Amino acid sequence: MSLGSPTKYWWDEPLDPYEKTWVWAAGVFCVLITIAMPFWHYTGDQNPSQEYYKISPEKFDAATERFITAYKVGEEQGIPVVVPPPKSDIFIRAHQFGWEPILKLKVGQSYKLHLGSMDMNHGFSLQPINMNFQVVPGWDNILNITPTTTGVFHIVCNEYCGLGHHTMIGKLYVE
Amino acid sequence: MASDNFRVCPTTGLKVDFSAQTLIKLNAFTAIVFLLVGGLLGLAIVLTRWQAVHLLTAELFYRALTLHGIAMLVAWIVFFEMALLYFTSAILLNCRLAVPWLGWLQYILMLVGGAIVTVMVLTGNADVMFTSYVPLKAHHLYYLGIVLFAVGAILGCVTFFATLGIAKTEKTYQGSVPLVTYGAIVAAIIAILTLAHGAIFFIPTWLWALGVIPMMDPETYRLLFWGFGHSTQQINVAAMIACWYAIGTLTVGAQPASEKFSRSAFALYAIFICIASEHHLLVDPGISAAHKEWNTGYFMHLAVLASMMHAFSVPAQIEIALRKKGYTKGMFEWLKKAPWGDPAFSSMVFSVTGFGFMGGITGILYGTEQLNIIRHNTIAVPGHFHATVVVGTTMAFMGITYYVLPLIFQRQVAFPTVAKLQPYVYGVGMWIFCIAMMFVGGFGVPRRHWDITAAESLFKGELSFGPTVDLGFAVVAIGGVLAFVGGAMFVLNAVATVAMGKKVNQ
Amino acid sequence: MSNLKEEHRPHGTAMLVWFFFASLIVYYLLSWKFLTGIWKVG
Repeated sequence: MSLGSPTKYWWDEPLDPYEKTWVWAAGVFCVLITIAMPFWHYTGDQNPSQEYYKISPEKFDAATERFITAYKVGEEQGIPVVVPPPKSDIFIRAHQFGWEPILKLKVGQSYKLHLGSMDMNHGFSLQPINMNFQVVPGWDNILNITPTTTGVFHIVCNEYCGLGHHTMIGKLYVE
Repeated sequence: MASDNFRVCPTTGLKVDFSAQTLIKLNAFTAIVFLLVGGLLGLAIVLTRWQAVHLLTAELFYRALTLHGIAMLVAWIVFFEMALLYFTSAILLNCRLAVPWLGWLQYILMLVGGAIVTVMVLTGNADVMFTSYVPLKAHHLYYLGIVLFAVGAILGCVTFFATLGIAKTEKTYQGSVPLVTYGAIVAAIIAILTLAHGAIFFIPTWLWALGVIPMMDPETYRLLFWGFGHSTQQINVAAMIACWYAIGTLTVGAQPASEKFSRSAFALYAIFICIASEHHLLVDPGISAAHKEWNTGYFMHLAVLASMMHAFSVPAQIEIALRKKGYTKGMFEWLKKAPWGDPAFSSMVFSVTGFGFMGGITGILYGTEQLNIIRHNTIAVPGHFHATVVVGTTMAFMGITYYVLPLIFQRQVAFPTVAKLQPYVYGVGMWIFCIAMMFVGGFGVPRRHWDITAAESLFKGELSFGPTVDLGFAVVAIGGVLAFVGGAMFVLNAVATVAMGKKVNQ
Repeated sequence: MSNLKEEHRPHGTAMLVWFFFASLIVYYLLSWKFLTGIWKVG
C-alpha cells in the first residue's frame, strides 16, 4: 500500500512484462522526439531564430528609421509603408502600442527580418499564417524569412505589454 | 513524547500529531478560500474572452487575469501542498511534527505575502500579469509579497525534511518511507531548488522596483523567471502523482504494481525535471538553438519518460486491486465495477486522463523547438496548462480533500450527493474548456488579450479570426461556466463540512 | 508484480496505455504537418 512502508526487499521484485515493454517503447519515443529537434534544425525549413544581438532600443530605433527613409513608398493610417529589395535587412519596431513600418514583401524572396522593442516585451504574431516570435527590449531577434503565400497579414501583439496591449496591431503585405 | 500531543486515528490507527493536524487544516482551508477567489475571477475572465458577452473592461480584465494566476497557481496550489507535506511526513510516518513554530512561521509568511500581493493587484498597483516580465513594473510591495510567500514555502519544506529526520531517528516507521511520502520528498526537493531560483531574480527585481539597483536584462529575467516558473509546476506534478497513488490506496486498497518502477519514475523527476524551463523561450533571442534543444529536451526527455511510467503504474495498481477483488472478466470488467460514485476516485480518473491525454501530449508538442513557432503565446498554451494544473493537479487535490475532511478535520462530508456529482461537473467542464482553448489556439488567437477583434486599433475591422474561433470561444465559455459550477460545488461543500459537518466518531 | 496470477495482471491498462501512445504519435506527427504550412523561416 502506497501510504505505508513497502516490503523489505522491494527493489528485488522483478517487473511485469507489460511494464518492461511499456518503458522500452516510451524510452525509445523520448529519444526520438529529442533527436527530432536537431534533425529539423539541420534539414527543416521552419526554425526559430539562429541569430541575435544585444542592441540598445535607441540604436534599433535609429536603424529602423534609416531603413524606413531608404525604402518608404507611402503611408497608411499614418504608418510608413516600405518596399524593401529582396535579400535585404528589414526591420520591424515594436512599441507600446504599435508596429512600424508596414512592409510590402515579395512572395518567394528571402529577407533578413530584425525584430526589436522600444520598451516592453512584445509578441510578434503574424496572422493568419500563425507564426509567433518573441520581441525583447535590448535584443535584436533576427529571422531569415521567405514568404510562401501572398495576401494581407496582420501582426498581433501576443505578449502582454500594458493596458493598451489589445490595440497593438500591425500590418504586412505579400505580393 | 507526551500522549496529549496526539490522537490515534480510529480508521487508520495512525498517530495524528496535533500541531501537524492544525497546520494541515489551516493550510488546506486557506487554499480552498483562494480557490474560491481564483474561481470567481476565472469566471469573469472566461466571460470576457467570449466576445459576445465581453464582461469586464480592459483594465479590469488584465487585473483579474493577473490575480487569477496568482490566486490559483501560487496560493491555492502551494497552500495545499504545504498541507500535503505535513500530512505525508508527520501523519503517514506516525511521527511528531518537527519544530511546530517553523510550521506556523511558514503559514504566517505565506498568508501575509499572499495578502500583500492580492491587495497590490486589486488596487491596480501591479497590472503586470503573473509573469511580471521587466520592464513592466509593479509596486515594490508586490515583489516583497512574493518573496515572503516563497520564503514561507521554503520553511514548510524545511519543516518537512526535519520531520523526516525525526521519524528516521525515532524509528517511527520500518524500512523505506511509503511511496506517497517518497513522492512528496521529490516534490519538496524540486520546491527548494526552484524557490531558490525564484529568490535569485525576485529579490533583485524587488530592489529594482525600490530604485536601489538598475533593471536586469529583460531576457535574463525571462530565463530566470522560467527557471522558477516552469520548475515550480514540476512540484505540482510530483505532488499530484503522490495524490494519485494515495487515492488508489484509499479508494480501492491498491498497492503499487511495482515499488521499484514507481520510485524510479519519481527519481527521474528529481534529477531531470529541473533542467527544463526554456520551453517558454523557444522563439526568443539570446539563447542558442543547441541550448534550447538540450534544455527543453530534459536531456533526452527523461522527465517525460517518468510521466509515461506513472501513466502505466497508476491505472495498473487500480486494475490489479480490483481484479484481486474478483472483477477478472474480460479486459475491462474492473473498470465497470470501479467505485465511480466515490468523488476521490472519479476526480483521480479525470485527473490522470486529463493530465495525460490533454496536458501531456500538448506539453510535448508545444515544447518542441520548432513546433513552438505555431503555438507560442497563443491561447493553446493556457489550454495546455489548464489541462495539467487544473484538470491534473487541482482535481487530484480536490479528490484527496474528500479523504482529508473525515481523516483530519474529522467531519463527514456535509452533502454526499453533491460530492458524488462534483468531479463530473468540474471534470467535464474543464475538459471542454481545455480542448476548446487548444483548438482555438491553433488558429493563432493570442492569450492574455482583451479584444481579438482589434476594435480599438488602427486597423479596426480588418482583423478577424473567423466564425470558427467565435464558436470555439462560446464552447470555451460553456466549459468554463460548467467548471465554475463544479468548483463552487467543491468549495461550498468543503466549507459547509468544516463549519457544520457531522463529527466523525473518535 | 511478476508473481501475479495471470487473471490479476493489468491487461486492461496495457491496452489503455497503447491507446494513449497511439494518440500521442498521431498528434505529434500532425503538428509537424501543420508546421510545414507556414513560411520558410530560420
